[in-house]
Amino acid sequence: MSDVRVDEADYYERPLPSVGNGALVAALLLTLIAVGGWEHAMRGKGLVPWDLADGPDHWVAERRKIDDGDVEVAIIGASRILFDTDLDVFEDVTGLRPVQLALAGTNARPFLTDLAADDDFKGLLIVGVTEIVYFMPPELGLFVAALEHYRQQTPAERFGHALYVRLQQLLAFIDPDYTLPRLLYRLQLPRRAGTFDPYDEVWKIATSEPDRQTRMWYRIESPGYLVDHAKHAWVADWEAFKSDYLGGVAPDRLAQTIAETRRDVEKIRARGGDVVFVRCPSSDFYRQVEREFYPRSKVFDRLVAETGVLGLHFEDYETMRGLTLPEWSHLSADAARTFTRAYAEELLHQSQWLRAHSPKRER
Amino acid sequence: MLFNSLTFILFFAVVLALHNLPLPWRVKKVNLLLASYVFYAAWNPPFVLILWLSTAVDWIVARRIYAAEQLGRRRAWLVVSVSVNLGLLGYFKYGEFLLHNWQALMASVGVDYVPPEWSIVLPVGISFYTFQTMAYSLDVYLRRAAPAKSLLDFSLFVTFFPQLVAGPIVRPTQLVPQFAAPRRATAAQLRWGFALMTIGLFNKIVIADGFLAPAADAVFGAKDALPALDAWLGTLAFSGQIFCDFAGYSTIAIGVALCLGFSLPNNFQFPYAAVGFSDFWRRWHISLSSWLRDYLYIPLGGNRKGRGRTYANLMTTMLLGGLWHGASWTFVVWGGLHGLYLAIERWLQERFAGARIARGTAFQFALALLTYFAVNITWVFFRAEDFPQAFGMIKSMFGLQAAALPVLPTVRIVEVVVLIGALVGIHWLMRNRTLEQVAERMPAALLAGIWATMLFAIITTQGAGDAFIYFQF
Repeated sequence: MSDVRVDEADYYERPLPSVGNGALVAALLLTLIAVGGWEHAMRGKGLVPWDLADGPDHWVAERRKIDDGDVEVAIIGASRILFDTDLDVFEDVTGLRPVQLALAGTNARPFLTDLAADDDFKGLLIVGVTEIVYFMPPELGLFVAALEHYRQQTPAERFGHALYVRLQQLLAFIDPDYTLPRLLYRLQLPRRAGTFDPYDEVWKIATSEPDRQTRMWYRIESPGYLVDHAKHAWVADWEAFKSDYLGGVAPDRLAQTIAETRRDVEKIRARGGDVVFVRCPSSDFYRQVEREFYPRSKVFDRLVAETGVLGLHFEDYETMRGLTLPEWSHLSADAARTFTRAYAEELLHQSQWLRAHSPKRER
Repeated sequence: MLFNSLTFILFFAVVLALHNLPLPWRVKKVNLLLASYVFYAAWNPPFVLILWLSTAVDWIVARRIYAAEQLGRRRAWLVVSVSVNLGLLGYFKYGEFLLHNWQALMASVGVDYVPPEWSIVLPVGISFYTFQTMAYSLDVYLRRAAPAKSLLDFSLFVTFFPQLVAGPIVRPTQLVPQFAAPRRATAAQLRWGFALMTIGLFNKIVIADGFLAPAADAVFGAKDALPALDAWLGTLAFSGQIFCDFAGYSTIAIGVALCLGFSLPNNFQFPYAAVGFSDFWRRWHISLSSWLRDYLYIPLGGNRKGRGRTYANLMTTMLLGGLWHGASWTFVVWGGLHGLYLAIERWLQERFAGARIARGTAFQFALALLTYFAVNITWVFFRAEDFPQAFGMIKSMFGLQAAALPVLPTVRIVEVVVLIGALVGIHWLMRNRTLEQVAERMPAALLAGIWATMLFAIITTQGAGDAFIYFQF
């Protein structure tokens, strides 16, 4: 084997610049000072360390609770049932703590189908119905990929999430709505006709605590530019995408959605579980749009009637009406507690499943 | 696990601490090997089996090739290595693609063939480590290298976590000898290693994911025809995104290895300042282009078998290089376009070699811009989901679309113009320099300021842990 020629030219040591310790230490010190200042500035803007900033990994952690044990109550839906449910209050009323699986701006139907197919779930499923989201094509939505993430989450992502939660509990500035690019997009530059400006995207409106307990951010609850922007964002969003919604739900989509819902409900009931619909409050601009394009009698009432599912609509209950919705779509934190107590008590009264399983059932 | 994740920071801190303990060199190498398996298993533990298979096959094959006296036996053992590695790649990466093409072929002759459902998950980085292990057996076959003396060293060469999943694709002669003697980073290596990691993370988290990806995604996700401005800016944004993503990964990989005391070769050398396409491929994904040159183009005959064969070899190499990037005909077209560019360049060089005008700076700069322009045309095929989208985008870029609807708002236009302008400008200024040379000459205060700015931007941009684009290859 004497003809073997190891190519020594391939082997080399990387050249090293003479970067001194001083540059490294100065860089680290400057970074520490800058990040400290940034943390101070972000706390001044109302960010808090205990706010976990909701995201797909938080959702997956909650979803796994169903795999891990006997979850009695789970919630799916879009942002309204997410913001408007106070888990502590629900537990106080019913004795059961729900697992919060609702996702902002996301159609609940794929998640209903997922739970219907999961034999581990035999409990009560509360479906928050926001018609504009519930009746859109199921593949659309902000976090529709959460299910895929749940199925494909890697061990590294799972471990990383645990680390992230611990770090986020120490630092307020870790918030996806306050990253450098997101702050850049808050600049108001001349608009280009026909495009959706990032300025019009929804900014931070909620905080998230363990168990995905989501509440309206306190800065949205008082008058100011943040709540004004939140309203502006809802109107801009509607204006940008209204062509998809004008005319309401097409009859075939309505029928298909109801049929798929009925199929999934039957699967859950066959295992001894049950499903209820909750229609959370909305007001002003949103209520007007919903009344025009998603009239209750043609959409929500029909869904309830044709699926044979108990449906609670906020308009039907004195205790659920007239609550504070600072930006027309979600309840303030205090109002969410009131609403949760009202709907949980009503469920305890009207849901046979809950009466049978709640430790606080009427005897 | 991803470099831009908290998990990696903790993992790397533990690995670095273990590597600096006063332990025997063999124990440190075992630590590195186990850490590399943990690094890979953190995506999907069963896929470690594929790594083991690839390692075992090439370990055995290379020794058999080395020991065999007869050419036939040497060739037979080489075929085993190539078959196993390309077989793994073919099954996991190209299986579905082949089935669908077979289905289309059958349909074209009137046979209604319905392939079984294909739900194989692509093991991350498989294209990189199969090429790396194949290079080992090929080098032994070509008598460029002797087999590694220790299975531990060879396993570490295959699995070394800094470059395992997205390169640089390292040659055995570059890395295996580094495992022979104890290595621990000097203070200078540690400092520069951290600096390179910072530069890489800044490229990935801040520039690629934070600022350029939204514009590229908006343009390539548009449902309607686009105005020329949007089509161009989206493509330019993607050119910056993929460079910062991939070069960022390579830079982190080099930095991580350096912190452990190992030297990995450069994988990028400011490619958007390339003057011509052969220059581009000397600067872009250097470890792959040199792999293709040494193990495909030259064995095919290179430029030694006449003009016609040279052009055919060029085109074959680039078409297969395109296919290496992904199981889709759009990647083949991407490679084919680069092959075509290289062929045209070769033809022009033969015709106009030595022309005086070609040596002027202004002309060189114009040629660099022309190269960048042509490279951007190829990026359309690389990024597009399918041919209709790619051709629609090309039509948009040349203003051939009627009823075009804009998608990029002012702020995204500004960020693409500023960032791509800066990127191309920096590449041109750095064309004949290295980062090491620039850092060497920079005043310490300025270096510290830039370093701190990048760290601050990384921390406050908080990447969501998006996977590096090149992982999918």
